[in-house]
Amino acid sequence: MSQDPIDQSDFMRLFVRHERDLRVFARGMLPNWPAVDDVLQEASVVMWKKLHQLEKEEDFFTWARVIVRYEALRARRNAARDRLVFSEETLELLADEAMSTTGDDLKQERAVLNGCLMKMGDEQRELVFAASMRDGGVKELAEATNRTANSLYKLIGRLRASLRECVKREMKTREQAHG
Amino acid sequence: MDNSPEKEELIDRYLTGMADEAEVEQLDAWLKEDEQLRKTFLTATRMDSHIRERSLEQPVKKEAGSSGPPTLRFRWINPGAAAGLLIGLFSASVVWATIPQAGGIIRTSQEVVTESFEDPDLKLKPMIPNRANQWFGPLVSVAPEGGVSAVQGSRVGQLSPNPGNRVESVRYVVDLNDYPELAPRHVQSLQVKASFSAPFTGQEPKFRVELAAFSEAPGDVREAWQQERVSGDRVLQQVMRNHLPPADELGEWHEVSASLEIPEGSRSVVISLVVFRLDPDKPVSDFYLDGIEVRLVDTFLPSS
Repeated sequence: MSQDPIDQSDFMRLFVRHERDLRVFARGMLPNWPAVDDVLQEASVVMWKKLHQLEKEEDFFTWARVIVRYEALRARRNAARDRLVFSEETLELLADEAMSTTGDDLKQERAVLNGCLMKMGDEQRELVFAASMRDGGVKELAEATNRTANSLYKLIGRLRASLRECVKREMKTREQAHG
Repeated sequence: MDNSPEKEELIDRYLTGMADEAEVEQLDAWLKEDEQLRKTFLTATRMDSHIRERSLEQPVKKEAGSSGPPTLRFRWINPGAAAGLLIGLFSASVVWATIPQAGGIIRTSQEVVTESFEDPDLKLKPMIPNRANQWFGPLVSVAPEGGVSAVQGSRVGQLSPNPGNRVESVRYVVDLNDYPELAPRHVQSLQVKASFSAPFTGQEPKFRVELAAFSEAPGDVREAWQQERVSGDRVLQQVMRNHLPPADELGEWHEVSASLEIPEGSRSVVISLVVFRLDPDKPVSDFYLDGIEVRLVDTFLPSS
């Protein structure tokens, strides 16, 4: 393994490789996707400036998550008057828990979820996607399709629950298959 | 792993933006005291993240059974874009023109995007694109001043180079899955036209339109882009057109065009509009961009 110092071109490569997983980590602490975008943007600038602190490429994901965690908490303090965010104590607990998830865990989950999505009908899949695109997506979809937000939410909720069950079941099967 | 359905439903409401203040407060209290619920919550946020990644990769839906150009029924706009989620017909953005050519060649042209940065609040993210249908780069929308006039509309894009950089780019990814598949004896090309200006640089700028086709989906283009820079084997086809404006025409707009024939197996085309400061010792000042037009041209070559 090379012990060369990590330079800025390495940073771009590492950041791009881990960006999706860092977004997943940030989502666990932040109330919506625009907040995730903002925190990732700020965190990437901090990472760039503090790159000299990173000794080994293998440590990038852990190191980067510490920075994302700090920036997410900072964003929460700036939005302290927003009543739709969790308390700092809860965010710290969630961040502690989320640090134990590895990149391999996420890779496996993605593969399993893709399989479960493929088992759904096209329209069901579109509804699930619509709900995850942005906050208020369900309300906008309800207006566009002349349905009540509540009835649509219930339908999407059922679809998401069935997806969760499918993922849970498939993960269990994989765990059993691998001893 | 079992939590009450009530708690799981509340997590869902939170993740879909449906929870109100009282519900967020309730969920916060439960999460604080219940380690198992924290695990369930994080599993749900990971699922939400993976679903969102997949949803951003989805091509535009096309009407089945249509022999002509497709009508777009649904289109999900990136949440990073100001427009957010839009549902409905986008017929205005799909303008087809059929142009008969000599020798029986038939060419159809479809508008992909036009941009003149008219939204006063527009401020692009200065990063390599990670999704389609959105501009990225160190650019803001400004009203022209100091003798600069817009090519289209009333505003222009101001590209502010980082003092440490000799090169800056504004980029956009076209997802070819949003467009009809190629029929036999058809050739597809992407044509890009953009106007550049550098009225206050006081130095020699260079303008470039660069087009690069990748087999990767838009969400994976950033990684492919980086690998291309390292190993040079990821771009399927690449075209660049440079323009060096004469010193006495720096205050004028310079239209630069490029066309890329899209090779088989392409999924994404990255459009880069690039400005160079050829003399890094001279002071940094702004560049302007306007009047961008991107079209997908389908050429039918009848058998002879």
